[in-house]
Amino acid sequence: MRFRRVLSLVGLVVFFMGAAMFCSVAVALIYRDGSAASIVYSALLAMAVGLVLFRQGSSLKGGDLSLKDGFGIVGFSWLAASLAGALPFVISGWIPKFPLAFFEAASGLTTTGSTILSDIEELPKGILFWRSFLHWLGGMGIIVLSVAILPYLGLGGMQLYKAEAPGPTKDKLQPRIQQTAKLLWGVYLLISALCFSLLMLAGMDWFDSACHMFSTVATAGFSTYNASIGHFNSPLIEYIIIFFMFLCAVSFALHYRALSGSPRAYLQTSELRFFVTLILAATAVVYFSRLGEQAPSEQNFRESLFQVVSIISTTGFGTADFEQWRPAAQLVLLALMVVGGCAGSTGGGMKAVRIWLMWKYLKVTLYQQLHPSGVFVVKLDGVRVKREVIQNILGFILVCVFLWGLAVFLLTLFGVDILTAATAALSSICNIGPALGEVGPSENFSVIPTPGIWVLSFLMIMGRLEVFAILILFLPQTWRR
Amino acid sequence: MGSQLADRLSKENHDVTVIESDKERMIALQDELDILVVRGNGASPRVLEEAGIDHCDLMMALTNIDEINIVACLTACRHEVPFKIARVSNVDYSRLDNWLGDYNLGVDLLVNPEFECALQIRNLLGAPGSSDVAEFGGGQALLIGLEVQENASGAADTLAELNLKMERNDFLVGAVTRDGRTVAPTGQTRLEPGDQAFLICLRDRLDQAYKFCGLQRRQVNRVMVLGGSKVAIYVCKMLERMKIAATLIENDEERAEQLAEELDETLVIHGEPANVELWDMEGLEETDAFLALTRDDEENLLSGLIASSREAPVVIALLEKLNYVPLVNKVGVNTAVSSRLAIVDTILKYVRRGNILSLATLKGNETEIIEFIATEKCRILGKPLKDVSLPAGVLLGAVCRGREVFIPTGYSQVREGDRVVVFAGPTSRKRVEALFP
Repeated sequence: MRFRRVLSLVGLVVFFMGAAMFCSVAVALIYRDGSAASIVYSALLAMAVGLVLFRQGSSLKGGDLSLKDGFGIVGFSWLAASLAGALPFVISGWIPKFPLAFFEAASGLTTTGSTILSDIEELPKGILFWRSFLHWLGGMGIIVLSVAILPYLGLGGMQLYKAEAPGPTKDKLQPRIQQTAKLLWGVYLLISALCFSLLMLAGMDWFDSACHMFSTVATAGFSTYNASIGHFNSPLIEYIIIFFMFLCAVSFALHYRALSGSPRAYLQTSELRFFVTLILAATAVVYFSRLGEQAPSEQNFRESLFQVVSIISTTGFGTADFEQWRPAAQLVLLALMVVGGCAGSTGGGMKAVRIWLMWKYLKVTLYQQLHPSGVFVVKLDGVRVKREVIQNILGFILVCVFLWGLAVFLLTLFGVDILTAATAALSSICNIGPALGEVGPSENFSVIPTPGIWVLSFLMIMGRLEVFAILILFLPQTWRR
Repeated sequence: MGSQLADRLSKENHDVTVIESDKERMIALQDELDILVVRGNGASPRVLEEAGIDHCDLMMALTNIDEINIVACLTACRHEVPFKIARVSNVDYSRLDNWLGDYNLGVDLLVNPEFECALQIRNLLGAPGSSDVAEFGGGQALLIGLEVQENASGAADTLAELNLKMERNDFLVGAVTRDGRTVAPTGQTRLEPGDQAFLICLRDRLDQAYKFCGLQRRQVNRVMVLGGSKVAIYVCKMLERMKIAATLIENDEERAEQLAEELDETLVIHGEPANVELWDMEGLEETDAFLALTRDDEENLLSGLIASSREAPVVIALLEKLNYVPLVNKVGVNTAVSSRLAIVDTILKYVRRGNILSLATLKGNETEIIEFIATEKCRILGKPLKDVSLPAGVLLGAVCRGREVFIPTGYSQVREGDRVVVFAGPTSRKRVEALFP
């Protein structure tokens, strides 16, 4: 890896983070909440550091980036951006402990939505805006990363769609990455604008609309209220948010294809069919399991649907405390955490397509037992999935399980109980937000001891980059010239 | 591919010129058939001119390379050949069919022999045990060929007597093969066990026709296919659409994987096609039909023989070498299909003049079954059929009026615009064509 090359690009990302903070400055000035000065300091600091790094690194000219450089850039920029994002929290004094601030920023950028704050509402608007804005920036990074960059490095769920698709490939919308990124951001902006205006129309003020829009389209989960979406107590707002959480958990490349004149693309994608089926089935299970305690009502149904979509899209908004629900319903939600959104969306988790392919692989394995000389292939949308890709998925799942196990072990070592440790680690690696036990939807992560906070922060970043991109940085071979 | 058609056309008094690039085959063709053979590349304008493209009425490009066929048709278009037929096997090119009108690519008809062959197999599976199946009247009337059994009700009396006993006319015996000879049935004909009877039958009345010949029609639910030829792929795709379970055995591993990718529901097995133990393991006992469709004729015949000795109810074999066809029944194979023969009917329909909608030729029987449109010039309009004197060897098999299809009796009339299915014996072909100008 040519570290100086990587450094200059990372510097650019940090500089950009600093520049983005001026949006929060504007909000702070409008509300005169007194946080403007500290955000300006943070912004200037980040921009200065970014410039220094950029200058320190070698120039961008001089040959193409190698595969190793690519991994380095992806991994380090996410780390550096989280560090920069933590500055306003520390400098303003609202989250004075650095590990906690880093956790909050990483949770924002990775669109996880876990918080260590117990009373969100007391924060000044400028800082609140920055928290949510981190989500939106993270979401922007993710769609480009997952559709345009990770597939080139041979990673990520969207890589599956690259496999041998004839003609214009589905994920590569344009021949150049730059163009693809612009198109996808166009779709992202369009959906953001739509979500923002609908939330305004439904009765939110512009600040809440903006913050919740950031959180929704990035499928992230920070709210500006302690009671999350439940604060508004408005079915209309809840349905709007359900719709947009779902929309943003669907591949943005698919949205682009649909918008550019082939809406049938939605129907032809088996991943989406699988995803919708899962949502409907899970909603039914959750809804009916709750009927034992509560009378059937629209509110029950809405709460069930909201929680299912919120978890499977890896947003993590809450309208009800699902810790009070039947264990079966809680288990369904935990399972949905693992599934996550579709590949190429802002959602996290394992991605629906991987689960879908594993299901098919399982069937094929069973058929093979029945017909030893049968020839079976796993197909995705009529195209055969290569054996190496299946191996890659199996490896991915294995690594995730291993990392998760390690994290749970470490957390319990630091004194966290097993249920909390297991679900918090799962929720972090899948970028959801709420978990069970001491970090349920109505609680926060401040109960986790500081070393545990570091573990969870890294877990979030690893999960966001689909694990391999970070793990590769730990290989000695990556660092050899 | 073309030799069969050339022979056929030459016997119908057409002047046929064949372009062939292979020297040995060229000599063989010249010796066997009464045709002119020109040696060369069929896509070359020079060769085509040499072969007299300026004077021809119909050009058929039937090489096994799609592109050559299409280019040859483009050349023919330049020379203003009225009718051009191209053989196209690549399914992608079949889409050209929709462009023909708009862009005038110079092809009037695209034929895909493997696909036509698969269609025949599909039809044969609809009437299992039948030697031939053809659709008429938009698929509402079927032509089937069944062997008359010992205890058949149809062998009890003369056809005229049997006809009187029937409550309604669901089918009609139009042609009979007896000891290899073609017999044109009349009212006095009495079917004998062992005869091959060709019946035209309403689609939903197939069971009655089977009973008439002393047979029981069984539903085909499971099929075993040997070999991954193009025909086999088409057949499996058709079976998938008909929700019939198919098991396909292919010996080449790479090909088997390709097949598994292309086919959705079909169970693809990698193994030797002639491995009987493998057949048993994959459930030969439960299969209703056994299709031997490898690229190897001998293998198909032998596998068919083994399968029928293991009591596979219906056995169909793909035979490209036509001199094997007479062997078929002797080895217990119910019927043979061939992609060469499959396009003969399609092309003959275009070669014949007149208002022909569809045409079927039979295996081992010289009768042709032709569907005409009755125009105003037709002489038999508006009279009860008992008062019409049809030429000898000609039989009206079915009449399609609008959406209705019926088997005519002596009191039925043919009206203008009806589609009429006619059995025409070998000697009466010209007279039939005169009947429906």
